[in-house]
Amino acid sequence: MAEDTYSGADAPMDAADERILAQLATLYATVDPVPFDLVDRIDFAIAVAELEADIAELTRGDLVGMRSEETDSVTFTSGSLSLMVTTVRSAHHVRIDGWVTSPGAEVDVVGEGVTRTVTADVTGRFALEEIPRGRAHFVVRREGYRPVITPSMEI
Amino acid sequence: MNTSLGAQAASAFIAYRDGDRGQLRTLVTLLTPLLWHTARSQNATKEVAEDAIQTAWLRLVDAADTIADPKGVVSWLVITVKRESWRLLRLAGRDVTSDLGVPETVDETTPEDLAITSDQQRLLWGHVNDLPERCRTLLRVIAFAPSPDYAGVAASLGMPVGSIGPTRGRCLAKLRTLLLSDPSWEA
Repeated sequence: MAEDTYSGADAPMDAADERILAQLATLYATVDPVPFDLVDRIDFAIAVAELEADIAELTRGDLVGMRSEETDSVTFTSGSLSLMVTTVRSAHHVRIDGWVTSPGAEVDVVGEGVTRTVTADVTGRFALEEIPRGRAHFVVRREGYRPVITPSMEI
Repeated sequence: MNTSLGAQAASAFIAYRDGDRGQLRTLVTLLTPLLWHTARSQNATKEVAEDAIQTAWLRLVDAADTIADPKGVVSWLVITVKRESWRLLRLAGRDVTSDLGVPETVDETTPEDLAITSDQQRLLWGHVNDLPERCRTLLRVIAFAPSPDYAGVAASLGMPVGSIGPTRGRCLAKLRTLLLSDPSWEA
């Protein structure tokens, strides 16, 4: 019987093996799921490391927007820099109206699968249309400073 | 058929190295379940698993250009997560005597039983737990890297299965035998 138990160890994998492994994956995903935000946090850690950026803190608003709300406003701060972002939602897209305390700064919106860049005007205002809804973070670049990256938020 | 995990990972990694930064997120999304269960199969607590995985990705970003064969990216990450989990666990073990308050263990038994909702899963869980620990470790990880990546991932864990090709290996053969001889199991 002990021999039977191990028989087939050298046989090629077949469809039954694949099914067992697939069910095993489902089982382990059930009993010990990957934390839901782990991918986001890894992504963020990589972005910070790649940019050698300073991390801005949320100083007003909520990162997990109420989906029912059409508009939302949040403020991020890092040192002397502040970034205020207002989002206006339609069915699938978001318009972003922003203001940054550094006129002429470049602002990236890094969403799911898209990165869009805009330059703030002389008053520090900027706007971006048609950003897909989902999670996004912002990167602000200024001459002579390290980039500033915000935590990701629901837009 | 769908492309294997290893092939998808290799093409995302190549695209990332060629300058498509967004492909890194694709790679992270693709491989995080495998890496999570790699770390957890090494008895890493959830915190240690997260730290080990995050560190492995940051190292990959640093070392991206030094990885000669893009097809090796999955193995590279599995090995790094395994080693980093061990290193962090050793550190945590030392810290247990200090006053840093690192929790020594995470309860591993009851929540798992509670999470299982179907009879089929309960049956599988029962048979898996009848296997030797070494087999549970191996199968838990390779479940997230099915053939043809199975053999490479098993080797990265230091648990090679068979000499050539995607053979079943003793652990899967054993589980298969247990399941197929159980009349309640619906194959």
